[in-house]
Amino acid sequence: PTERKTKIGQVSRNAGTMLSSISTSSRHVLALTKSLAIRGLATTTDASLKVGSTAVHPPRKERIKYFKIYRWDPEQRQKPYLSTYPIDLNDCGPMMLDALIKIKNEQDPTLTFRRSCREGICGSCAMNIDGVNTLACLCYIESPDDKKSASSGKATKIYPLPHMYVIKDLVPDMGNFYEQYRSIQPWLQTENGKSEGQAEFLQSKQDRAKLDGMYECILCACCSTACPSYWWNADKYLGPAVLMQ
Amino acid sequence: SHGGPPPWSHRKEDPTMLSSATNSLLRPMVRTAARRHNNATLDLSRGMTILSKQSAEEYKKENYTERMKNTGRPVSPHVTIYAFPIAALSSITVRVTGVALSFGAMGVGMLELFGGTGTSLSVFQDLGGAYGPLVAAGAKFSVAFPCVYHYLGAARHFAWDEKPDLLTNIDVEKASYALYGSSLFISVGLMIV
Repeated sequence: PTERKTKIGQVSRNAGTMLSSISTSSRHVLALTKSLAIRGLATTTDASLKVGSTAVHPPRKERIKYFKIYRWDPEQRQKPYLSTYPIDLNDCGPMMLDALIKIKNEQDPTLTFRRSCREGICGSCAMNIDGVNTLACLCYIESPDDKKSASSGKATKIYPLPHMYVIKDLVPDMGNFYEQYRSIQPWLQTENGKSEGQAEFLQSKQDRAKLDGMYECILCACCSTACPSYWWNADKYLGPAVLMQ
Repeated sequence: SHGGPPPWSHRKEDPTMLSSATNSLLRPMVRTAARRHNNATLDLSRGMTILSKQSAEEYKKENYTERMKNTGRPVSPHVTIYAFPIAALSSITVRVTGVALSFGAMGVGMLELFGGTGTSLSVFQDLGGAYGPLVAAGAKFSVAFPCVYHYLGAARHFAWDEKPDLLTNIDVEKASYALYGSSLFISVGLMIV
């Protein structure tokens, strides 16, 4: 279960500021009140003067969401299985990657996954979330419409990219994908070479426009691993990511 | 310091030349590849993705799937967990109905061959009358739907052949819902008639 350390800290901070803003004589009265209150002999019924009152910060109700995550340990001779983890969404960042990191920090340090930039540019955290291949750092745990209803009923299922050989937990072997990318010689190639005295190859705006829509690919492999043809023929079919490059 | 490649580096046991690239003092600690089905330990050198000129040759030497079989790694789930878009579902339904029609046609052919001409017709008439309206309706629908759906699905393919501009995510999604809807509508109509 997640610990709510911040709430306790907040209460004590508030009590401290309350005490420091009151004059000396009142503070003596307050100290007397507090000691009497501890002994169960409170002399005042004014709630705002009671030290340690939680009326300043109303307690938040927990919003628990369950995550079912694919696990497999190469060191154990077990079949892959699903582990379920509860997360209080009030205590967690908005993205799936935040939840994964929180689970790894607080509940299960053996949970293994790739991640790097946390902003959707590196492609490391590509995985299958609720049946869709996406980046965990860009996938919201709850969409804005969900937040209104009680969305914590259904568990989120997290799997590695489909039909890939699993190294551990959510980490697939990307070797074949990278070798296919290498095989297409992914750099600009010229047919005619440089003419006499030419320093660099100039690029027209039309030529640059041809790259739009293709240069943005971060090679996360979400698209290729979503393709059933790539599932059945990964050794022969290059896949959409590599073909586009 | 590098003491030169070990005497076995040309043999199968050191395909990625890990041993020659490793410091000779550390070499005993490096697990060299053994091509054996071993569930307890994973094939270190061939399992890892070490991209290099050597790895490119490695990949050409042996089929990727074959090599991964030796590592004992599981394949991540695919058909069982993936959320197929409506376009994918409508496409596979075309294939499924096609297979169903093939079996149906073969069934009719067999009946006629071994029962004599008109056997299939009498079977259909039996189904229509003898077992009640529910069975009749069910039988009619189960013949009508594959025929209609497969026919309209093929028509959709011809449309795409003529106008490939229609092959966008949004248009194909709309077309898939239209295909399911119209096939159901027509099949139910044929069922009632």
